[in-house]
This record gives sequence, C-alpha cells and structure tokens, in this order.
Amino acid sequence: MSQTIQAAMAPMHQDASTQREPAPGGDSLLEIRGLEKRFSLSGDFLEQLKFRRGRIVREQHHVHAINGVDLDIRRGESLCVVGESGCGKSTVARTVMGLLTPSAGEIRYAGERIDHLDSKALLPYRQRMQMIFQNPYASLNPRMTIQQTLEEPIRLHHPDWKPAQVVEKVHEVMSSVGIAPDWGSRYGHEFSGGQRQRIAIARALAVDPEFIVADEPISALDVSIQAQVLNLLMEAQREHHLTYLFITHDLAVVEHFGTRVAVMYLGRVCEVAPTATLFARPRHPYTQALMSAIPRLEDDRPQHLRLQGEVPTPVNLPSGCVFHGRCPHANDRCRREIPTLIATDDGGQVACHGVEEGRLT
Amino acid sequence: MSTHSTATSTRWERFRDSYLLYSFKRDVIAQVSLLVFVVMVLAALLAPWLAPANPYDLAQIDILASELPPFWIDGADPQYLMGTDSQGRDMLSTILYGMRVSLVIGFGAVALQAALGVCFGLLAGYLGGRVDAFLMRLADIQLSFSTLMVAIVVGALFKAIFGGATYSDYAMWLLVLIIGLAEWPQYARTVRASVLAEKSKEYVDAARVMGLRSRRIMFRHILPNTLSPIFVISTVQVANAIISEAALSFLGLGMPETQPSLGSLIKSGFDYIQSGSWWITLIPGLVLVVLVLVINLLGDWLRDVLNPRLYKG
Repeated sequence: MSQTIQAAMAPMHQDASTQREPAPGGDSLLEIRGLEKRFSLSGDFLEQLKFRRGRIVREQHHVHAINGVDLDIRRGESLCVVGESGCGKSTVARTVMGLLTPSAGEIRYAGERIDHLDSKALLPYRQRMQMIFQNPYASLNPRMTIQQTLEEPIRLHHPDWKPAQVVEKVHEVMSSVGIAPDWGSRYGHEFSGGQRQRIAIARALAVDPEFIVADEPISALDVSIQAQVLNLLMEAQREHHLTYLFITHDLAVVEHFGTRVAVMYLGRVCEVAPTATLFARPRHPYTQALMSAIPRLEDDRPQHLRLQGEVPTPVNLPSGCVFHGRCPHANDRCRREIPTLIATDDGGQVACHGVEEGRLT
Repeated sequence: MSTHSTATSTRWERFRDSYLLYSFKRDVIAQVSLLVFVVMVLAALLAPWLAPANPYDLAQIDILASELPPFWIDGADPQYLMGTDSQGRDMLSTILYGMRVSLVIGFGAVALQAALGVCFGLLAGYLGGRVDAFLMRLADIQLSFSTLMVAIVVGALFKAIFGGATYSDYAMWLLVLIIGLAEWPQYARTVRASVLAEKSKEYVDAARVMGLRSRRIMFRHILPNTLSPIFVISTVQVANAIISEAALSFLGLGMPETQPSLGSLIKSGFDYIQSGSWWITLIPGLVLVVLVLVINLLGDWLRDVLNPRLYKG
C-alpha cells in the first residue's frame, strides 16, 4: 500500500512552490504508514474475564482512536489536520511525538523509524521535533519561573553550553516571541493566555527544532489573540524553516495557515489535498459536507449538506468505509470494502470508492 | 513600572504578600496553636538547660523523694514543681526530656514515612500499570498490619537477636523505623492520587516531549505540584506518630523506663493512679494531649489554606 501512495505523491510538487525546494524523491520529513492506536476499555486481566453461557470467556473492548492513518508531511509545509471532536486528530499528534505508542503501523522521521525507539534513542529526535499544546494554562509548570521553564530544554540538549550561553539563548527566544526577557523571573500564572502560549512556543523553539506538532494551539485563546499567535507561528516558520503538523478544527485557520489539509473522520484520513484545491473542490462526501458548514459572508441562503445520523462509536467500527452509514452515495462496495487513499488529478488524495469509480466528481 | 517591581520581588516579599500569611494573621486559633507548639518544641529542645534535674542521671534521683505531689497540694516539696514519680524523678524535668523523645520519634517517623511514601507514590502514579498495582497492593498489605503488630514483631525480633540492653540503646530509632514503616501507605496513596491528577496536565507532556528522564519529571515537575497535600498530611501524621509512640510505650513496646517518653511516663504512673499519685499519669497525659491538639489544629488551618482536594483525614 505504501508504494502506491509514494507513487501517488510523485506529481505533487507544484504546491510546494512557496517552500524550500524539496529534494527529489525524499521530500517527506515525516511518513506515517498504517498507524493504529487502540485504547483498552476493559481494565486489567481479571476484569476482562466474563461469565457467558456457562463458561468463562475473556472479553476485551477497545476504542479505535485511529485505525490505519497514512500521512506524509513534507519539509517546510504546514499540514493541517481537521476533523470533528473524537476523530483522532490529537491521537495522531501525540503518537507522532511518542507520547503514545502506536498499536500498529510505523512512523518514519527523515527516513528513520522512530515509533519503536526507547527514550534514550529518541533523544536526538526530541530536539528536532517539538510540540505546542492546546491549553496554555496547563502547559507551563506552575512551580517554575519562565526562565527555568525555558532553560530546561536548552540545558538538556546542550549539556556543554556555558550558563551565560544558555541565558543568552533564553533571552533570544523570549524576544523572538515578544516576551520581554526581564520577565523571566515570573511564574506562568502571572501571564495572560496569549502570553503563555507564546512562552510555550518559545519553549518549543528553544532547541531549534525543524518540525513542530501543534495540537490545537489557538483553540483555547481569545479570538483577538488567535491571530497574533498564528502570525507568530508563521513568522517562526519563515525564520527557522519549520515544518508544521497543525491540528485544528477551525477551517478558517486552515485556509489562512495550511499548505495542505488532511481531513479525518473516525480515525481515518478521508482526504488530503493542497489547501486551495480542497476549499475550491472538495472530493470526499464528508469533506463536502464539512466545507458546506463554513459560514460565509456572501451566502444569504446557506446550503448546508445535512448529514443523517451520528458519528458511529469508535468501539465497534462500521465495516467498509467508516463513513458509509451517513454517506448519501454509499453502495454495497462501500459497506464491504475499506477504501484506501488514491491520487486525484488535482494533486490530492481521497479515500472514496465513489470518486475512484467515477460515480462522484 | 509596577510590572517590574513584581518581577523582581524577592522570596520574602512574595511570602509577605502571600495568602498563607494573610490567613494566618486572621486566624487566632492558628496563632495560639503555633505559639504553644513553638514553646513546647523549644522547651523540649532546651531541656538540658531548662530542666531543674536530669532524669537520666541516676545520681540525682532520690528514692526517698518519690511520689511527691505537685506544688499546689499539701506535702509538696518546692524543689519539685510538678512533683516526682515513683522512682523519685522530678516530673517537670522528666516531662521536658520525655517530650524531646516523643517529638524526635514523631518527626523522625514522619520523615521516614514521607520519604518512602513519596517515592512509592510517585512511582506508582507516574509509571502506572504493573508497578502501580504492585506498590498499591503492597500498601494495602502494609495497612492491614496495624502499627502495633509491626512493633511487636520488629521489637521481639530485635530483642531476641540483640538482647534487651541493645534494645534500650536503640529503642528510639527502632520506634522511628517501626512507625515510619507502618504508616508510609498514607503518603503513598495521597501522593499517587495527586500524581494521577498532575500527570494528565500538559506541562508533564511538554516535559516528556522535551526528552527529560522520568526521574527528573517525577521529582522536578510533578512533586513540587503535589506538595500541598503532603504538607497537610505531614501535620496530621506527626500527631499520629506521637500518639502511636505513646500507645506503644504505654503497652511496654516502646521506650524503656530509663529513657522516658511521654507514653512511658504515662505508663509508669498508671500503676500508682489508684494509690492517689494521679499526677504521674495525668500531667504527662495532658502535655501529650496539648501537643497533639496544637499540631492537629495547625494541620486543620493549613488544610483550609492550601485546600488540597485529596486528603480526608
């Protein structure tokens, strides 16, 4: 499966024009293949034993947070992952960062598998990949000053640096996010939400990473502060040639920020496409419904595509395409067979039998 | 700039502006408790200088002066303000020295409990899974042995192996060990609960993403954020440890008569309570009650101030 996707990726260089020229063939910084993550609901071994029809059986139930995600993140791009609550966006982000161990599949960073490494072997990658979290009120240790918070990653990854060098670096990153360096002796709770998020960004930037996973970094902030933080992220991208995996549910942010967009539904990627293409011409029925839900200034007669029913439970996944129960175009094949991502003519990929068969345009 | 003055505030200035001090200034009970506690601790620490006699010095003990009543009762000797016990020891001096022993055991045992309990609680809460299950079952087993049973077993073993004389020499440290070992699950459970709450916060994830080792995350990031409940149970546990010591000594499993603690003083007077020498038991008993009461009152106040969600005593 991975070979077909690699082949599908080949004619997709045109949208990377705003980034550094990718090396031919090896332009993916991060490759995710067949990633799965299950969480057990059944407790420990003794709790799994159940008495059914006169015999003792072992029953296990799992939440299938992500099941079979394939994604490529290219150097210098901002890949936005969108989807509704519970579709597995954050699980993808946390699995990529090694906060969760995947149940199956592999993650490659710059060609090297990183999903099975122990913490010591992972340390060099920790410097190259960093993460920004959703809640700026919880992501700073309340008992540490800002100076201590920012010094910690630098000391860890540059044990040979002199104290003056570390302090200089801290001041540099603080200035770069617009926090005055002489505020370093304060604690996190003395700052506003936007300031805290900028400090969290400074912490991620302190080790000069090349790849940043941002898990809904602006959704806990005031609207007036969101733009500020977004612009800071984009500025940092220009200055440090960063690559972003940007998790969000805000489609307006995606349009502003993303190079490409991946749409997720129930733990699977249904469509990946360059931002402009996706917004102009969504292919997957779910993406179409999602796009039609964006409120627009000009339309006075909103034409929402209304989906029937609810998102199925991730405990018992539907057979075939996860979307078939709510898709107006579903047929027998959709109920039977899980669709894989196939390349479309406009540079995207879509996982839909209807598009593949030409039933849907 | 006002912002800069707070940014450069010293530790003392922060303490001066803190809620802790503010609430202390408005709580008369806490103030009185702290005053009484400090006076008692100072009196115990300065016992060799304050006490009129040294109860450990056999040369100073006059058996003819035994069972003298305290000063407000007829027949008292003004030399012995609080009377004397059955061996002719000056009660005031003995109580001061005994309080010393009780406090050392109380704080020593709590230090041991805290060290064990915090480490086990951090490990169980942070690592989870089998480590958690193992340590918590261990805690359950430990709790199902009462302090008394541990004391009987350890004390008997020690006496059997090293003999009674050695036991007397090390009785105080043995009690620290016994009470410390018996009560660590209190800490482990509280710390584990706090760790579970803190572990899900994003600053812990941030520390993991940074690549910090588990030990540093546990002690540098999580532990400082679980200190409030630890402080509160520490006050309660000091009081508990002092009571445990008194109970063990009363039963003859604790301090020997030659090195009286409050508990063994109460015990030594108990035989004479029927014959009218009630002060030998009652005065050290009152001192014990006051000591434990002020510690508990301080703990109550601290719990209200720090408002930990987790500990219910």
